[in-house]
Amino acid sequence: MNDRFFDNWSTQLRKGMLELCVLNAIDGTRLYGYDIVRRLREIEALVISEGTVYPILSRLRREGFVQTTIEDSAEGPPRKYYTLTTKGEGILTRMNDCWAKMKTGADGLKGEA
Amino acid sequence: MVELSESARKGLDAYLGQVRSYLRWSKSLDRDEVEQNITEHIERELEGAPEPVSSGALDGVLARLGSPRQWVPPEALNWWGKLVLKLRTDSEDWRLAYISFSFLLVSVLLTFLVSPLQVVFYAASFITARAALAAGGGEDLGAQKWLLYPILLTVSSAFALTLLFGPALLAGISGAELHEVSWIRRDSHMGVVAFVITSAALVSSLWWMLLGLVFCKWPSLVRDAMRPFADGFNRRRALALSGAGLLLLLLLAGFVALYMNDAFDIFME
Repeated sequence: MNDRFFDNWSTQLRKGMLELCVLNAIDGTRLYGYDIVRRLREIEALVISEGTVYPILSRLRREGFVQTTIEDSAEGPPRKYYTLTTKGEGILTRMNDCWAKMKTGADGLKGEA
Repeated sequence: MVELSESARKGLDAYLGQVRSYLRWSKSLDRDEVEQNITEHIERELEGAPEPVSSGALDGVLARLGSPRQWVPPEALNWWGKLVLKLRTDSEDWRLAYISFSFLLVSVLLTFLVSPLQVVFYAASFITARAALAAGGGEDLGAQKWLLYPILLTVSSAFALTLLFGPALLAGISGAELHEVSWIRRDSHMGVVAFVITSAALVSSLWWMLLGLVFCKWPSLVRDAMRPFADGFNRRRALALSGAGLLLLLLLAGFVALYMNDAFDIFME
């Protein structure tokens, strides 16, 4: 029962965090889809199906938070690189602030008992 | 693209097929982009792997990519997709199969009561069964087949028979009426049975040739209409149908030539 509760809770948390992690991964740099997946794979607690990252990238592009450029690659087919737009940088700042406040607040509650 | 073994190629095709079946429920997603993302990801993951890549190696990559269903996020689904996937959350969810079979049972029971509602339940059973198929994304249905196939098989068989032989039946009926016309009866030198058979065979041959050509251009029409029983239908089979029509036409021409020759001989005697 406890395991199921934790699984549900952590799944919801990861879903919410994934967009923040994707945006942070490409902040200040340009990466293509597979590289973003590889960077997120390194975050142990995030444990995601790698295929979930691509629909998020598509949605972020539709929302205007990221933009893509396609460039030829010597190692294979042309690659689609993702970078943050100005609008994306703005929303990322707000999301990071929000997350920092939530984390500080939640951590603060731990010591109050 | 890295070289895949035969079994790995089939595995990838099956995965992409399932993704495509979910993408049908979304207007907002770019299908080409999704497929490109999948193939690029697999390509990069398998870089350096011994070729041809085995199905085991590919399965590992596909497992990490996750279910084909996740490529279409819930917010990108249309209302029908949302409804269907709510009623069939995974392969172990039998609700759609039960609903479909229940509708079929009700329609059979209503047959005895001679109720017009029978048709409604029959259609509902078929639509629900097709929805269950689509929700499965082409995966093996397992024992759910026993609940879904009766209605699918019935409708597919009726559809195939009507499509193939419907025009012949109409031609036969029309032929019987045409034969009543005195000059046709006189000039054709044929009895009513021979005239009806000839009319039906002539229309069938032309119809099959036409159908074969249409299905050769769009073989997915047959696959979609008769899923899952015609999944293997392809252009070659469509051409075979045209060929059968042509063969029937040639046989008919030979038969008519022989018949007319005999009739001519009898007439001369």
